[in-house]
Amino acid sequence: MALPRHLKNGLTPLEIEFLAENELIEIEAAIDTRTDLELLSGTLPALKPLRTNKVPLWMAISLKKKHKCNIRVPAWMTVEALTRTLKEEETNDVRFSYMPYHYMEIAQLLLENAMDDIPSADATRTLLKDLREARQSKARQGVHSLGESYLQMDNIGLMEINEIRPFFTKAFFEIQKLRPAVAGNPNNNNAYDYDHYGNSSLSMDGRYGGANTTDFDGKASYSSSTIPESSRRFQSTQGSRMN
Amino acid sequence: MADDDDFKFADYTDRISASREPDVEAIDPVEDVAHLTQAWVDERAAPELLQYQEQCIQRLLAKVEEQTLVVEELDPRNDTSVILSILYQTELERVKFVLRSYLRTRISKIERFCAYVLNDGPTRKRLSRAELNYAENYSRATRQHYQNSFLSSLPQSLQSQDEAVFSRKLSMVSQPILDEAVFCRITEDIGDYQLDEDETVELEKGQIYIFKYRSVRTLLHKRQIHLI
Repeated sequence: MALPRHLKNGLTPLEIEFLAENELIEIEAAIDTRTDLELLSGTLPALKPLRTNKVPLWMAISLKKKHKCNIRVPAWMTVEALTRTLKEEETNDVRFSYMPYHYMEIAQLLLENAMDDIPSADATRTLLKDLREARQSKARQGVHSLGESYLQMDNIGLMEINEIRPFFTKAFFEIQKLRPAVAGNPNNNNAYDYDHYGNSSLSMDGRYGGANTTDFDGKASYSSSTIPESSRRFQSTQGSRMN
Repeated sequence: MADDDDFKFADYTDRISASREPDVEAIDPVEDVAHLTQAWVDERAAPELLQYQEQCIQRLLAKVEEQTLVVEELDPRNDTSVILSILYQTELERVKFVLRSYLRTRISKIERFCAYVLNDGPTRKRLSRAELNYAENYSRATRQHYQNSFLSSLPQSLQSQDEAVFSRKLSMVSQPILDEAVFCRITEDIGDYQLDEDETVELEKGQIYIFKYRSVRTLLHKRQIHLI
């Protein structure tokens, strides 16, 4: 086959790592290339010893393996920054705290290939693990707010998306199937339609479309007792967004 | 057309011909690699076939060739040159990998939705000439194979291979499911965007959403969002 089966469901973790390797990172080279680097993806200024250069991560790792450079740990990956982020992540149970889109992959690659450039690598590793777990459980909470037309998840990393992708896309697709069944109800008249509608879709819309779209407070349920409340919520908060 | 049966990557790139449909807007050649990479990710995520990135790929193929010559001319006795050569070659391989995976993803969709791709006007226009060729041959080969191997022994009324029975839902032709959920990242401020008849959402740069593919299709075609 043109594309093996395991590649058909989105990107694989290795491919995501590949994408992350295009991100730029600062290095201190130990070589002098004398000429600028004429890459297909653009020109990089010549590498000089004792000067910091911004290069793609794949290049930094390739040079590192030959002991030709030291990699500067990105600001967000220091112990202080991670401690702060973790705290924020734990206190705010509504949204993800800001992390670079490829943070997991970059951190993983650096810990693997440039251990000696990371001060207190063990602490960093532990913090990253805690952070990841906090975010993971938040992402899972998101499934409560998964509705029929959209769900917003700002600041989530690509690798994190990939973890929840199979379940979320399937669930999202199944929820949609419920809609025509309601719209096609033969007893439709306006008032009835609205109620019914509220029951099946607005009760979910209310939560993610209204109050705050990254709001994973999730008390989603199909239970009919939520109809009046959530329909109202939808009406009163539609279009007003907090972020 | 008949001699296209062994399909090889090398032949394929040779036969990519002059632009069939110009890209929606010109891309800065410096951005080609980034653009192709995103096109690859989009293609992997989108249920349907997207516009073939003709110009971008042509320029990249030319650049790859140029760069290969540059690498060959680097002096292997000079340490710095050796390092440069390794870096250049690594990048070359990375670009080639994306290109190959991009083309393979498209081919796999062509095979899966073969009859649909050939018969649906807009989709057909998104193929490169080589891809169209491939689709036609693939369609002919599979039809013939089914016919010869078992359909010919069935009653005439059951021999059809692309009939829509009762409704579109039961069509024999497999089609991309446009209601599939996709994750996407907004790349520019769009403002209020109408998702459905009764749903509007304000899209700002950097946000990440799950949407129904159908409702953001036009944004993707205009390159205002990236699929992920």
